[in-house]
Order: sequence, then C-alpha cells, then structure tokens
Amino acid sequence: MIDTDAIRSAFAALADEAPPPDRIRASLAIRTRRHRQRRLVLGLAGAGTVVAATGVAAAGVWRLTRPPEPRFPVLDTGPGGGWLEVPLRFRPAWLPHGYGEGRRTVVVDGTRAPVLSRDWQPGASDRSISLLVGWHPSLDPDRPSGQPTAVDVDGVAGQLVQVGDQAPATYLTWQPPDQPQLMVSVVTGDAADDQRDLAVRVARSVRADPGHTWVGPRFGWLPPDLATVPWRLQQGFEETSWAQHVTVTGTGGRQLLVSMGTSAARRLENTFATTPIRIGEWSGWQVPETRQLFLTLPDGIEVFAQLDDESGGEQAMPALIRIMEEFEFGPWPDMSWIGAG
Amino acid sequence: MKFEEYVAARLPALLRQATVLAGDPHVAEDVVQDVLIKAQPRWARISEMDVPDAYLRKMIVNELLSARRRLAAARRRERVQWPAPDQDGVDVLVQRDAILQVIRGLPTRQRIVIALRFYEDMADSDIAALLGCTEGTVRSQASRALAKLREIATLQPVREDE
Repeated sequence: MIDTDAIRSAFAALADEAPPPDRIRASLAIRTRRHRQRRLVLGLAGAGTVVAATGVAAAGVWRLTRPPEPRFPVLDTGPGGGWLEVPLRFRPAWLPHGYGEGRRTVVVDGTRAPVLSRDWQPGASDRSISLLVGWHPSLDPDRPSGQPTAVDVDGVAGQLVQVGDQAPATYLTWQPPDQPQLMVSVVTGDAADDQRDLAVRVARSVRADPGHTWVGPRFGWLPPDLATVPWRLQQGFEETSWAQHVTVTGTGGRQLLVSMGTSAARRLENTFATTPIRIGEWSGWQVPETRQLFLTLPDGIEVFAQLDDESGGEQAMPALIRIMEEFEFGPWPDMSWIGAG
Repeated sequence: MKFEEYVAARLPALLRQATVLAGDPHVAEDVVQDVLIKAQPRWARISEMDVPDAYLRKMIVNELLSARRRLAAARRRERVQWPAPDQDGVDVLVQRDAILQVIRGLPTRQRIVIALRFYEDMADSDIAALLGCTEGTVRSQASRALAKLREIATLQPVREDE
C-alpha cells in the first residue's frame, strides 16, 4: 500500500535531486553586470567621437568574410521604417569569432535619438560586447565607476574601467574629435586581462557605419511624469521571434513597459487571473492588480504593457489603458541585422 | 533584505522546492533562474511582503504552468517509462523509485497539487488560492494523481493519513 509517508518519502528523494545553486548564482551575477552595463549604455550622453581617422570612410570593412556561427534565429520581421531615422554612425570592424549583432537600443528624447547602443553576442548568450554611441545626462548615475586606466585608442586618449572581481565587466570610453562619445562594453565572463584585451581590440577596430536604424513606435499620450523624460526602444530576439520593447522611467520612479513581438508564448505566459478587455480592435486581457495588459493585435503580434506603479494608485490602470489606446506601433521593425557579424 | 542576500540564503531551498514541483532538476534550475530574473527588477516591492518565499513559489508554479513549459513537460511525459506492474504483488510497487517515476510522469498541474499537499503540507484551500482555482478542482486534480499512482502501480487504494 502506498501511504502518505511513502509519497512524502518519494518527494523528499526528488528534492534531493535539486541542482546545486552555483550555475544560477553565476548566471545572475553576469546578468546583473549586463543589466547595469545596459543601463549604462543608455545613460551615457556624450559628445565626442571615436578615432576620427578610423572613422568615417571605412564602411564596408566589416568582417563579412567571416560570418558568425548560425546560432541566431532566422526571423520573420517587418518592413522597417518609422518616424525617426537614427544613424548608426559607428561599429567595430573586429569582433571575436561567432559574435553577431543581437540587440539595438535607442534613447529617444523628444524628436532626437542622442544615444544608440548595439550589442554583439555569440547567439542567445549572456555574453556580449557592446558599442555605445552618444551620451545623455539621464545615464550619468549609471556611469561605470572604478579606477580608470589610460588607454590609447588609435591616437585618442581613452579610459578603461573594470567593475567586479571574479567575472568583471569592462568599459572603455573615448571621444574622437568632433564626434560623440563612444564606449565599448565587454561582459563576456572572461578574466579581467582577457576582457581588457578584447575591449581595446574592439575599440581600435571601430569604423564609421553609414547605415541607419529606425524608431517605429511612439506615444500619443503619456501621464505628466512620463511625458517629459527620455524613453528607450530596444530591439532584439527571444528564442525564434523578434521582440521590441519600449520603456520609460518617470521622474517619480514609475516605469512603463510596452513589449511587442511574435512569440505566441508571450500571451499564454500570463497565468494570473485576468479580465478580458478590448481596446479598439485589439482584444486581450487586463490584470488590474499588477497593472498589466496583454493584447493580441489583428496581425497576430502579441503586446504586453505594464505600468509599474509602486504607489499602487487607482489611476494607474486607466492611465495604462489610455496610453495603449493612443500608442502608435508604427511599422514592425526590420531586424534582418540580427546575427550579422 | 536585498535581492542578493535573499538569493544567497534561499536559492538552495527554492531549487529543492522547484525540483519537487517540476519533477525534474533540470527544468527546476531553468524555472528558478527565469523566476529570479523576473523577480529581480521588482525586488523592492517583493521584499516588502511578509513572505517573499510564497510570492516566488507562486511565480515558480505559474512558470511551470505556462503554455511553453506545459508543452515541454508533455513531451517529457511521452518519454517516461511507466513502471510495469509487478505480477507478484505490491512490494515492488511501493518502492520509492516506482512512485517517483509515476510522479515525474504526471501532468504538471496534478504533480504540483500532490507536491503541495504531501510535501509542503498545504491545505487544499491554500493550494486553490495559489493555483487560482477552486478547492474542488484541487481535490479533483489530487484524486486523478492518486488514481494514477494506483493505476500504474496496480495498488490498493492510496491511504491518506489525515
């Protein structure tokens, strides 16, 4: 006979199979550094330029002869375009083998895009090498802190800062004459010396990039605390789907996230109690207690929106609904650049 | 408590709990990592709760019940080798490993229900609140899981010591 004790004993044996926590701790540590670095990327408002000499005329020198390993998904993305054209300006001409572009982030301030960040990574990995072009004062609090080391970047003085001990993150900042500030971030999990060498090599390879990217979505209405601050557009991929996120952090700390993509799991991931809602021709669910909206657009694109209001104000959910009612998604992004080396 | 402090103190326990709920240590590791990644940005609010463990347990359960996870779990169940009934009686069937094998092969929601009931000693009402369903649904899920134990193991009725 199986009794309660036998079942409990079986579950206890199952619990004993639990994996050690080491991998998750290491992964979270890397992710934390990466998150910080990403905030940085968006926070630096600069003016400056990269080694101008290396700059502007060398488009087409990219490492196209050595494509990354095929660890990026082939995405069915949109036509691209939008209301704001953002010049790419620069990119590294050298990256470690297997690295492809995996993410772009733009800081939008009014009708300008003062900061662009591009991440290269070996497929769907937490490791990344980023190039931040430009700077914005809102990013100042996230500037990497540490003992700077002077580094020459093709004749321009740069400053290299390493954060963390066992698995550091490395930031190399420099500003070529008459160009925006540039920063290469290396968060690869390699040893400090190896990351330093990577950062310097990548920075010295930076060349002009004549390409452009676009900002498609924009807000029609925002509450006052969110309406006057810069916001961010991030484009990338999740598993085999494209994803685009718009985030705004208000002056009072409120955070707004509007996330769009083709992942079917996105909508179904919501397992909380939900209430149906219809906004225009969009159908979906709302979760008032967490101020979340899950919408399915007529073309099948899944949208998640959340207004993270720690004060729990009763007006948050109506505000979120109005934000989405007046939100312009724009053309879906062309992400054919995903995986490009 | 800061997020890093919580992780340092509670991660092993979370992994044990998730392994029991998932029936698979690899899935548990994956789920716990995803949950912590989601929890980290909103830790300020979570840590204000009296029992952040309970909140994270709900997140773990939600993650396990998500469509993507359920699909993967269904695929795993197809690969489970159910223990063959023993011809000579129930001695082998009550072996812990045989029970474990049945538990691993249960549908996710059934396994979660009996894990919460037998391993976490939660009342059906609390399980219902956690899963966002009625107590009747909890009892139904538990009944099905226990029936599966009986069916697979050709057991006599499972005796619950209340």
